[in-house]
Amino acid sequence: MNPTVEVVPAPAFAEKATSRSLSVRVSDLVTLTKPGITVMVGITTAVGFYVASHGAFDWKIFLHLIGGTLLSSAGAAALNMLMERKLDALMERTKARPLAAGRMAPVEAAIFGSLLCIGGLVWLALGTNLLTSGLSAATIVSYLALYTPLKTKSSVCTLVGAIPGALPPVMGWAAARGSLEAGAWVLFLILFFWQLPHFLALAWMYREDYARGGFPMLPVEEPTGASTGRQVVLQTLALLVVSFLPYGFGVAGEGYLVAALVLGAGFLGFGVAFAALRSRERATRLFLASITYLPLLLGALALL
Amino acid sequence: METQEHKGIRRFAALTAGMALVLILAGGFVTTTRTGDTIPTWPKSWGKMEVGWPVEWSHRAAAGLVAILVTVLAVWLQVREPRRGVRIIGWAALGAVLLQALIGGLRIYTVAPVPVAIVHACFGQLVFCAMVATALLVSDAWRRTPADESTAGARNLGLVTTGFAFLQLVAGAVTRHTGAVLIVHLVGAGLVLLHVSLFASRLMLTPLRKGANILVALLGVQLVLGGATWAIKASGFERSHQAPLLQILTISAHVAVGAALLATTLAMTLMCHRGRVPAPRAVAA
Repeated sequence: MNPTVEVVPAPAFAEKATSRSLSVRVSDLVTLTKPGITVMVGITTAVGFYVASHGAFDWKIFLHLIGGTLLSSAGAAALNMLMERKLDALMERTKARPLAAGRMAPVEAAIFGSLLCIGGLVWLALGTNLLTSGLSAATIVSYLALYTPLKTKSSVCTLVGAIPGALPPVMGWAAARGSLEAGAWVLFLILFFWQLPHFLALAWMYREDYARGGFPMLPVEEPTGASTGRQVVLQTLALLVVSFLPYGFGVAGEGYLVAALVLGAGFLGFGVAFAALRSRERATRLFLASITYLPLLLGALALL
Repeated sequence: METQEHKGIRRFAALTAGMALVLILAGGFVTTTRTGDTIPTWPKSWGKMEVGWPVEWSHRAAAGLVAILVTVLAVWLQVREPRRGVRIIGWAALGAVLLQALIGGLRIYTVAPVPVAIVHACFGQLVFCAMVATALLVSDAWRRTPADESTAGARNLGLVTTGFAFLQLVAGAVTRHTGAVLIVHLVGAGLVLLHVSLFASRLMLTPLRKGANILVALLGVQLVLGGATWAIKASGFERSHQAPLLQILTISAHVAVGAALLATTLAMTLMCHRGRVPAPRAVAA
């Protein structure tokens, strides 16, 4: 689960934990849940459920799935922010986060995050099935116990972080079917390969910040960005190929195939443009393209 | 220090924008109850009035009131506002309101009412945005929120989000009037959901956090209303003034909250770009 929304520039103000207004308290709690990542997790889970339902859409299970998933994802995000609070304080874009800025006590975030995680897992177990709850637990553990510690050790963290980020549609599939077929793993692959160029664009945009925080991301280890550019092109190309699989496995129709081709070619174009001239402007365009590409592709997968 | 007159302009501009939102809600009632043709003449409401005409009459009355408010605001700004750009936006808002009224009238007489109704619905969102922009430019928030580079990183995302929010309302208008392109509207919902969430996340840790909280709240309400509208339509809802009131209210509120979400996104985007526009001077006494 790579940091989709952790792109917050530094503020020019700071408040004390003891004198937080209601507005600040609310936004701090919302910030702690990383709303962008949590919403994306909700969307991808919903698509997995919808695709696996094959017309037998069960609204009751769907609502339990979304509710439980959002809670557990928000809890994992809060605990991740708790674990990274000291490093966050070193980086411009994260130093104003509630914990890094000292507006919130760590114990408060720990209780908040733990309650959300436990609540989400229990909700999923009772409202959907144990397989879905187990997958959610695996997502939380791989995010907090593998990806988060690895972020300060190696640039391989990007690949590891893509695993929990790709599991939500599998959870959606599991909730709808109670088992995992090939279609679930096709969705996993799409999400896995989508995250890599998405994250590299972000890492390039904030490479100086990552260097300050001691995160050995690829753009930090190789400042010219040549490898980053090559990786982006290869990964968007891989994504283009992988995005054809739903058609091959009979999960989607010909309309989806055309949409996947057009969208994938467009995304690849942004990737090539970034590789050719590695500027912040082109990295920003690649980032915006990535967050536009995925909902469109998933929408086509669900509806065409 | 703020003068009494500036306070008056600020409040009046906010009132005008608020009334424009009421007007959009009234327009939503007209479409949802299918009462747009119950008064067969325009601009005056005479002739044979069919069942359901009070809904259409209310929409026209609200439109008339908004036109008066915008006229007063444009003249007031012309006299007292030192910033030329704000004065121009005030007149542009008035022009847009008048054009919107003409499109509404054309809706009555045209041989192709549905396309005109869609244009009327979409242009109405732009008119509302012009009024919100005017209200923002003369607001306390614009004058007093310290210029802060922390919002610079959200500028592009704000523009993209505003664009998607508007396109989503266009898709919604087409779906509402024709029953078609629901697929586009649903995919658009995903795009808007993600982009507004990202945009709000970026603003949470800046001086614009109140706006970010409002964005998140509006997004949540709109999601619930959107889901409810989908469920209502799926259960065989027919647009009519005889439909259940709660269903009419839900669908119309979905339209109005969508407009509020677009306007708030635009306002936050403008606030992010604030460092790039000339700083406001003191309003002449």
